[in-house]
Amino acid sequence: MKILIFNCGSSSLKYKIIKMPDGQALAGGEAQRVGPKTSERSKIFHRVNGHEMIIEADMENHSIAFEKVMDIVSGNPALAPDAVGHRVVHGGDIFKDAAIISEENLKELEQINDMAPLHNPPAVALIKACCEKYPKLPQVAVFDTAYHASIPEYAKIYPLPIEFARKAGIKKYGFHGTSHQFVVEEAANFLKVPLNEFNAVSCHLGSGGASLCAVIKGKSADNTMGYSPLQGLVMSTRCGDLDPSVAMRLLSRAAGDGGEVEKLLNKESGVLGLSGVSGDIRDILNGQSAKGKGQANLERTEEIYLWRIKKYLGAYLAIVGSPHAIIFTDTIGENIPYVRWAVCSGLSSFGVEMDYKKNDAAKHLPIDVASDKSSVKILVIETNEELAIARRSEAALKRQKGTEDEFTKFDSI
Amino acid sequence: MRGSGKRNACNGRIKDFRSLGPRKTLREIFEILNNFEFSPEFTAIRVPYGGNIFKKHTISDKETIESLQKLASEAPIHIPPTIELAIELALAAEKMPIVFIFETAFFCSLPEREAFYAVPRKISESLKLRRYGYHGIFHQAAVEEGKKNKAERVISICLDALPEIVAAIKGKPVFTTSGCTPLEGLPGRTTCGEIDPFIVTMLNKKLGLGPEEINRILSEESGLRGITGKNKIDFPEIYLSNSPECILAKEIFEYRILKACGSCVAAMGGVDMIVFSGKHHSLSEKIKEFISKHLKIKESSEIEFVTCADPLAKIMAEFAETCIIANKLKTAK
Repeated sequence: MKILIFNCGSSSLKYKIIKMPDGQALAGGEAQRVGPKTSERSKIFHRVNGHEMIIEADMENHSIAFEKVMDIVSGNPALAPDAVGHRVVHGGDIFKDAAIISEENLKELEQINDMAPLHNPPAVALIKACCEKYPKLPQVAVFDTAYHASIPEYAKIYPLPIEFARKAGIKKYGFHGTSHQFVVEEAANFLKVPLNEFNAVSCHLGSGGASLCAVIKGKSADNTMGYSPLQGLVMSTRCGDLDPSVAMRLLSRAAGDGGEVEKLLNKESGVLGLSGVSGDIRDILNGQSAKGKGQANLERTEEIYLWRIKKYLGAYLAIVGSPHAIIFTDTIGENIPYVRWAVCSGLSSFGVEMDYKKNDAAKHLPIDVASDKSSVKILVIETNEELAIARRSEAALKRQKGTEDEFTKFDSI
Repeated sequence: MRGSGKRNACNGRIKDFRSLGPRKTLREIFEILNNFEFSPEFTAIRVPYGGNIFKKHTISDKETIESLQKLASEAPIHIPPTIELAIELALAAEKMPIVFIFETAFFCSLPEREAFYAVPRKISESLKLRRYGYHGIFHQAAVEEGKKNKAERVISICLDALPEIVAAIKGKPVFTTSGCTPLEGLPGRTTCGEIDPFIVTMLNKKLGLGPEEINRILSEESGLRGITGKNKIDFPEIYLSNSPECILAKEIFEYRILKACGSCVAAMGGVDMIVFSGKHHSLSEKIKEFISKHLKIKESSEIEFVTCADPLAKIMAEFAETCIIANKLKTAK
């Protein structure tokens, strides 16, 4: 079975065609600068067998980008997909697992667009376009929030007036679930521990967003992100944890304009707000040669960024109780040994001891960079969200097929 | 206050301090003390805010009062009445030393990595946004307990209407659950504690609530009150009642305690002692049991648990006494 995976960014559309069950990527690419015209023309970078083609095309929205991508893909019969898997950020209260799109649940999906106003609407528009153009091709929506449906009530509830919160849908949803679930499965497999016995803290440290996930018996038990992706770690431009009274002061200061405060906390804070130079922590870590006041600022940004991760690592190691592993993944987690080292140092109380040389030299993933005396493995694992989406999509299709087969059996009886 | 030779205590409350003013209030207090034949040797005044100036508890003199006056604009509710009280007290009892006990002194050395929020620097600076830390007097008492027992790494759990957990190494704080205000951190009796800050802007955008209304919900209608729906609920009750809402409140509270303890252990590279204090210190046995069961770290079996049952006034008296003795020794040199 070939599954075409779509991952909708706010101004990009990534795609990949994956052959299942072996997970081989047949082709993939990215449409960039999707949206209103910018100084550069929008382009599609299409890759097959290590060759890259660049196709220029005007793409005013994601539906047009989708059509252009389909034109390229359908030009090659070997790539013709049997199903489409879509990454959708927010599944709200409705979607606790990957879902095969039907007329009904598409309506439900549209209704929760405002829970992730930047991410959900383009993905939903794309699903609609897909359904219209290819009504017979099964579409599966895979949600970032779904893996966190298992977070227990006491970790999920915010201590607000309980009925009020329930009616307004305020609780922890958690994000990055597709990635956390993927690396957790890979890690359990790598360590040969049955997934339903596997305990870990998974650190998805991206160059944009980042979150930690506490994993008990293979399931998500907590996530540093909350009702929205704003809570938790210091991210590229998101502030992470913030005293709610500060948010209220900012709201008064903005004369009650919640949108303005949201923009400040989501787009202008985090590493960018602290450093004043860049929202990419790699620039901060590499920029240590700058002198004067700027230098102190970079050092402080780095310290705050790392400290927040370390605090949460301690908190999650405590709630997981007896972890098999700490997992690092995504751009920063996979590629910056210094970050892994800094946040794992001084955690020997939890049985965490890193082998610094192994950590520094880690290139071929997956790898364990813990020392021999560490009771907790420290794994660096490459995340692969497209493959994760393909796996979830395949599982959802199999489940459906299973139930259909059951029905057929009944019919024949 | 100290009696003759052995320590004893009496306490009281003047309800209408604001309408009486400091002079009349003090006259009343001294009258009462006289009736009990109680003559204090020194006075300790609690000051909720000492800014960046007062890093330790300080004996009142002309210079101190001047420094306090400079701080008045930063804490206009707290500082001016403190100054007034000290001046009147000096007039009423000329030779009696007065010691200012600052709630914020303990947190002066909180490292930047812990104190700073990840918002644009200009905004932090202009609005003075940082973690300040609260209940400094209780936490200081906790680290004093640590010093007595040669425990360098202390987790201090102040069980109060606004509970707070602090990690301190060799007497210096490195982590606190509370934030710019005590609203952040653990859930309190009526306060929400740490939440996704996006919820604030969402309530504004989606439900059209203004900052004051949101503030009322988060600080007066939340916490134990919000979870249980019981207006008069307080911490002891969630440990006594078996109702599902009280059990849920307890689970949420204890879960947050466990997370905070984990952060403390990571922040200090371990822990030697856990000290409980504050109004609800009597719950320490149950919380100790919970922590012992769930905090699985190498030194689990060696952690010493201490409950500091002293009321605030007694702790203040001890700090003031230490301050006076130190001052005498210094001037004698």
